[in-house]
Amino acid sequence: MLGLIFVVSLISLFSIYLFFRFETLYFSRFKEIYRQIGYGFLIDKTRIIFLLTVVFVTCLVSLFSESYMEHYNSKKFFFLILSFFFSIILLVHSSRFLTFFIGWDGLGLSSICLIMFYPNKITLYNSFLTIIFNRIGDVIFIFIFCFFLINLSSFILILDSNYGSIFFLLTLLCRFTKRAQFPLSRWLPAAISAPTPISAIVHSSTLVTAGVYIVHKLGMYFSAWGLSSFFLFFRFVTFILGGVMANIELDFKKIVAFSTISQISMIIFFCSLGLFMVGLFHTMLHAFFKTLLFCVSGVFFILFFRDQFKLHFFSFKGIDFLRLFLLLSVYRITGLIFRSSFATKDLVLEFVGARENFLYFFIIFRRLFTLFYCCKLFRVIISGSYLFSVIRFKRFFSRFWLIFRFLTLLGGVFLFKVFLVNLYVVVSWFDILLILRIFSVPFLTRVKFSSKVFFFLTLRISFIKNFSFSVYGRLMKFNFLSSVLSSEKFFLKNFYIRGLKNFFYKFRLRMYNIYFFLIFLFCFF
Amino acid sequence: MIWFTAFFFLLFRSKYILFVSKYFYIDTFSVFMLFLIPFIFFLISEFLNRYTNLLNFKEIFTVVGIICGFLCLSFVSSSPFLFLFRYEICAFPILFLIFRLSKDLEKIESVFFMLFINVFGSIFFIIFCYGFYISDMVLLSSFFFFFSDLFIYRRFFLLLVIKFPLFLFHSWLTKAHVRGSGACSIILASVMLKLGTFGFFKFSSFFLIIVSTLLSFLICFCTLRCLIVLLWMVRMFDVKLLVACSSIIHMRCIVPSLIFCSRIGVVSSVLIIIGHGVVSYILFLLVSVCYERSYRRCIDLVKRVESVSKSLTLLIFFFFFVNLGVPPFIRFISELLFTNFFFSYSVVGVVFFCLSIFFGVVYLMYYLCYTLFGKKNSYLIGNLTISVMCWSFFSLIGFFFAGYLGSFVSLIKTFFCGKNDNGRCVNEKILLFVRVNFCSFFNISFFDIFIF
Repeated sequence: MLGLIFVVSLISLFSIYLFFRFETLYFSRFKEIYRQIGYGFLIDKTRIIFLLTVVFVTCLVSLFSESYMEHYNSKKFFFLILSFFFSIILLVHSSRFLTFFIGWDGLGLSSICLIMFYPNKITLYNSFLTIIFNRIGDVIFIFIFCFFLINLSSFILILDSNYGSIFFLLTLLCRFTKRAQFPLSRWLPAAISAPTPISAIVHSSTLVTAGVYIVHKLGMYFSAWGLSSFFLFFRFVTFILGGVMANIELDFKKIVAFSTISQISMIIFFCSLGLFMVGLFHTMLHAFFKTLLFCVSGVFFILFFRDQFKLHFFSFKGIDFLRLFLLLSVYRITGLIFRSSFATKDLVLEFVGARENFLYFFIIFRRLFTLFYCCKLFRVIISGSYLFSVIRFKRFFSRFWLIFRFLTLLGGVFLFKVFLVNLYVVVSWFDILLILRIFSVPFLTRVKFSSKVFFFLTLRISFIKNFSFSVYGRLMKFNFLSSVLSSEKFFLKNFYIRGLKNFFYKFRLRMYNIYFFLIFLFCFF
Repeated sequence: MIWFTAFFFLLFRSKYILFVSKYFYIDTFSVFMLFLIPFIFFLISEFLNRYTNLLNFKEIFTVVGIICGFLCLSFVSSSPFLFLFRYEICAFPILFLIFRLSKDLEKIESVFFMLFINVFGSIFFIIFCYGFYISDMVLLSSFFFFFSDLFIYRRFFLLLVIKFPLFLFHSWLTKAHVRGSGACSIILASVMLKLGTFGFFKFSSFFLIIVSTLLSFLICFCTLRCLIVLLWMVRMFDVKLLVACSSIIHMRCIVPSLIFCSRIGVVSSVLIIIGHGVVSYILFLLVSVCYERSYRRCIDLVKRVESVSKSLTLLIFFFFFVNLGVPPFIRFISELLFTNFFFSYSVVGVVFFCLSIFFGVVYLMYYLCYTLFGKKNSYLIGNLTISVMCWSFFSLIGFFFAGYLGSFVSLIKTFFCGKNDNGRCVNEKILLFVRVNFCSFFNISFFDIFIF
């Protein structure tokens, strides 16, 4: 079964070259007055990307949960995961309202069943919260349907401007529920009480894709009604909420939940600027590193016989391999140079810095917040003393790791084709080499783990420096702007002719990242 | 449930009259209803096969057969009186069943209450039939009679208000459900309510003028009553009463659409009937299963079904949610269509209806957690349900009263400042819009319908 899903996902990889839409329609009724209210499917380039993320994440998590959840009712678990998966697929691939709504309601139902998987009072309460918020979104969606009877693939708004703003508000309210924006984000930290693999899926990929999908559909109307500043406020608030709560919280999973909130708001900010593909890219990356985070933390929860709710700064003792993965995942979030989310965040920073002032600072504050809670997580990783302990790794975990690395490597090729991002392949190969050399292969055996980490990071920074301030930097094409900036004449002109001051003036955007990293280093001393 | 799509073609067409005689009048709609009955008969007989003894089974089976037979006949009746006659004959076997099968002490009370209230309604209906020199073939020429007299409509309406439980006279149904056994409630739920809708639909073309004036009253009454009943249901403790009340609520919601003779309305109501017939059957079945196992129906005492049998929890969970509206099942589509119809009448009412949808889930989660997982695990939910429902309900009402605030503020302005502010900003426009709709929604100038 999993093999089938893998095959499907691989096929979908190669079908990215679709430049048309493939649409089918079933059971259409009410042909006379109303547009075709039926069941329809649509396959498009962006939807395949969503499909890919969802498929990969569910496969990985199901691999993980084969042994994580072996003592529990696996039939029920897999049934619920499959229902969740199919509802997401229906949602994404729908061309009409009915299929979309099947997916939407199915998501809500399956998510509450999954949260209630271990039935105790906390989980029931949290599932209740989630269903309340989901239902608000459902009800508003029905209301909207009555307004317009929208045909999702074509988006023809029939009524005049009086109703238009209300419609817009309501669609955004829907989105607020699904992707946890400010007033309706209570359910996301509550949904932590599901088992870890489930929260891995839910928080990383699927619920975000629902919201982002809607944003994509209505993206053209985003700035039409002049309410964009109003929603920017909400995004800002969600982000601050996520960042601040992540710093305050002691529970590990809650920190991650709040980080998802902030990341989601960031993604939607990207979409609102018009950079939808960047947002998609970021969702993919976010999905992968969040699942990694969750799974690794799940392994830790098991190995230390702890309840998933009550984690404080306990010391991770001795399992270097796992700590490494945690490190990698956290590192990815930060968006530091040449890590995966750097490509998107830096791009947006450039884009925004050219246009408006306050948004620029907005993004910088965002970065700071992410760094702070990543520092917190890092501290948790590194603060343990090195105690030798024998842990037998099960087969699942090696499989998981292998697939993950394969994915990231392959992702480089994929991303080049779709998103025109060239760097990832090279950097990830180098990354793997470094990891193997420093951590896996016995080298510096009597050195602490923390010092190994710093060695790794410094080597990477040197590598990065080599790339960015040299002729090879022009090979790294993020977008048109950076390609222009990194083209040879600009480099040479600024470096040789104008002097250090102008050099910094031109590249201050890139340097901010290095400044952040220095701040980040100071946390440990 | 998708297999009924074939029969929707019948509804979309206008009324093709297929067969007429002195006693029979077969129409496309009646054909449609006739198709449903054998299915229900099959379901009921299946249920009875499992849950009654062999000795009882024969007589109960015959009784159920009589009910279904007379139902079919009532769907093909050519005059109102025949309709009533066959309709009322169905009621007596049900009374017999309630009396025979139930183990409750107060069954006699419920039986007599049901009997007398139905007779009360039917007396007025007889006056409607024969008080104004209506011939037997009146249903043929249904488009040429428009009764503009409220008194006539009142008599017609009363029966259906009772049978098809609308606002004031629904308690016979709840009592019958509670006091009767599983079989009785199933038959009641899946069979009897169809008659009411059929009656409404058949006779709706006579009364279009009256109904268009009444519609505001009906809509507001129905939706508000839905919400009030939902609030009340949170404090109930009998599971069967829950299911009965949920069916009543759904029936009430669709009355305005049914009366108004629009295509969406009719289709949505028919869909609800079908869905209700099947879903409530399943719900009552589940409830009776729990009752058989644990000999108790009280919420506090039906503990931890989840630990007893996982399949039962799945079924309970799933079908209670289907009851509220989960696509692609019928309930959801009917809700959608009903909101479409409703929206054409008033925007504000749709908000209330959507509120009722939302509340349905809230109270449902409360009950599911109590029954499936036990009191110990779900006591946290109880406070939250009440707070959520009250907060949202009263905040909405407050929001609508804000529409009046605008006028109040302008009054004060004119009083103190002595100027006429002709230029209105956007906020005031919105508030005016809300206020206008609010007034039309709560138009209760036709409350004197039941004054004799």
